[in-house]
Amino acid sequence: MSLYTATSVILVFIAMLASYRLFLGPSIYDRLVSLNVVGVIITIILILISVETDLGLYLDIALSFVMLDFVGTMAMVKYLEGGEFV
Amino acid sequence: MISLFLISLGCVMMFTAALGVFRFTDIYMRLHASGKAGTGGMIAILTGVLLRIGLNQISGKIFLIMVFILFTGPITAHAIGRAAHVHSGATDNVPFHDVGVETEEDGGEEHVD
Repeated sequence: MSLYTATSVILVFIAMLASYRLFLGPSIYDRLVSLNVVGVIITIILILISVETDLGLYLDIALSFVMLDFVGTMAMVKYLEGGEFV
Repeated sequence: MISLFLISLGCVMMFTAALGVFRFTDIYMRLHASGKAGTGGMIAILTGVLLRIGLNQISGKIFLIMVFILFTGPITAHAIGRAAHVHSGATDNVPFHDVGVETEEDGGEEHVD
């Protein structure tokens, strides 16, 4: 087991710990905070898979995932705040 | 050796962020834990990976992703905190340290917080 695989396994358990608030948080904002942390961990795992298998395809997937995560979080926050979309 | 230390430090910081989100009692405390420790752990892990693989085509894209998360992490944390604060009853035009509004129907002053 190489270093990247071990780091990926550790990060999966950390994501399971952080997604406790995602499933049964008291409010919707707790779920958003937990989703932010889980999204960053998923991005790191995709980068580690790409370095381990030496495939550049996963880096494009990781970059698209980061951009869609940011846009989705901002849209949900604007909807919850009650403002109008620009 | 330095890259191994950086990856271990990043795992510990990411565990701290997850533990803060899991264990803290308020939305602002959870935001404090995830906003700084999550971004710092990501920076540490990806810097360790960059030191390990050297300079090639993959490391440029990894650096691009790192800079993107470094820019958009605080923006996301600020937006979530502002939305939670607005949802708790404060209005948009009043500064955040002074959330008492004055209603015109009864002329009185009521504090909404």
